[in-house]
Amino acid sequence: MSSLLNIIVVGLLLGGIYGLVSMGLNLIFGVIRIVNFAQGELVMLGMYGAYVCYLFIGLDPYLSIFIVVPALFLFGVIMQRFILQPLQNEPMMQIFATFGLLLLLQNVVLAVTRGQGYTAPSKLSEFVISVGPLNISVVRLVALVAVTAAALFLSWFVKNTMAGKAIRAVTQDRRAARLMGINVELAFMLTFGAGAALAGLAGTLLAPIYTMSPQIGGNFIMAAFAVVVLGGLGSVWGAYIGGFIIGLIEAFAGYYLDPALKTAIWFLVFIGVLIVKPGGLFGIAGAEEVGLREQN
Amino acid sequence: MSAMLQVRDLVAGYGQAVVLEHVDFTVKRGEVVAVVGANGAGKTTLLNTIAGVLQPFSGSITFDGTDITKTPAHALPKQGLVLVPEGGRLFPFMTVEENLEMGGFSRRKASDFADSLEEVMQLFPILKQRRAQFAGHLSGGERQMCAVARAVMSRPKMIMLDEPSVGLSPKMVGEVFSLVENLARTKGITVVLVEQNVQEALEVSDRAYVLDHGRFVRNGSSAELGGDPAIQAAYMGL
Repeated sequence: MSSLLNIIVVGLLLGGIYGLVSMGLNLIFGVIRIVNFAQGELVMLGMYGAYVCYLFIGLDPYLSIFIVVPALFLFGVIMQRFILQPLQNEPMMQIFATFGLLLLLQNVVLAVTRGQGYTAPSKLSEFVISVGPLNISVVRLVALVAVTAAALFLSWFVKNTMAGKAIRAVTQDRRAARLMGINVELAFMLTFGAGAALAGLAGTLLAPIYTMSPQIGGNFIMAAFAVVVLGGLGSVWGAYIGGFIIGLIEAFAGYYLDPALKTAIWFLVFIGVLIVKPGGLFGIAGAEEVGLREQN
Repeated sequence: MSAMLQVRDLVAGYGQAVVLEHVDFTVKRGEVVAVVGANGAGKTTLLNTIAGVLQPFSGSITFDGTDITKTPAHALPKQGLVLVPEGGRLFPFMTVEENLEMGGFSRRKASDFADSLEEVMQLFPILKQRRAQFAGHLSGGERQMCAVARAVMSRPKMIMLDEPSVGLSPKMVGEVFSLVENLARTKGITVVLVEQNVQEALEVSDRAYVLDHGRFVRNGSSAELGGDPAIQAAYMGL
């Protein structure tokens, strides 16, 4: 019984991390309709950003959020404006461009760090909450709280603010949005920036948990793709719940089967869901096809 | 009456293909002007070019005294020019009310929005009952009404309608057209109406242009064109 409970807790905490990493990917996919292959590398940059803040000014990773998140937002805006926007009428090329960025960012970081692993320690890392037989790591709990807060904020934002509604309008029909007076290019820039900022947030929150390497983004991005498609493309709560599903699957598979099989099992579930519900568990029926409609 | 819209020597199209060849087009303040013609004549291209969705190859477009030839599409609603695209293109997963809100996007202020919404609901009572429904669940006629209402939310000086009658029942077509007439007569909104439904379009408009293969072949008062046997034979199946 206690081991079952333990597995669930481990799975939920892991799910929080996956959800957090998926949030930005999902936002960018949902609005701009491009798969940002470099999203994992943005998470990686966030982690290294936290490390740099720690190294040079001795900041705790949780405080470096206030530097790293705005910096990643700016980086995302610049990336969208100067790399993706010039390719706007060629969606395929945009995807290749994000793949190119993946390679570029990985290798730049590799060249700068010479592949050495770093950690950005936080005072919080030492704390563990013990509830009976359960041990809950505080830094992982923070990630879970953060993803919940991010999901709540995003869903409030798109429902209740004019800017959020405009973003939904852009998602549903770009041309009509333009005709309403919405600056679609600006919406894309800000959305990409927000997606990168979420990756930065994920990176800083993960910095105390994982040892950094230039390829670490890949560990998260595989999970994030599964989460996003499983939960429903473009659905905030889909990514949130999808994160927990993937986290729980990994925890159970790791305990009862073999940890090495976790990816295989994610993708079996993932394919199963796609066969039954192509829009994902929480996607609006037919929403996956809107992405294929002529958009300009 | 001064000109609301003045299009001079416009050449436009897609990629290499020229669709409109040296077109001149004038709409006076408060007029309802119809542009009629067969499928593929270039009617939608004309509207899209004026609305900034397409960049013209050459020529000039002046709206209410301002040169808008190079103005991007998203900047035009603020200047008072709005296009209702073919099929309405509502935001299907947003409610009717949210769609209307988006219509008022260029005017932002919340107080303005409440006023406009009230006014628009008066004009389109059917939307009042549907305000909390997803726009994607509306019937064809309601969808067209909602698209026009959404355009009115921006308090435009001029509305351009692209084939509002497509796919509607004859009864709905009548309703949509009388609404268009109402907008022009009571709100003083200038209207450009692009239609294949020539007969109805000539009935509600003051003047009309006949577009054929990218050129205007006729223009004049709608009554005069409607009575012309050549037009009747070519476009009205009489």
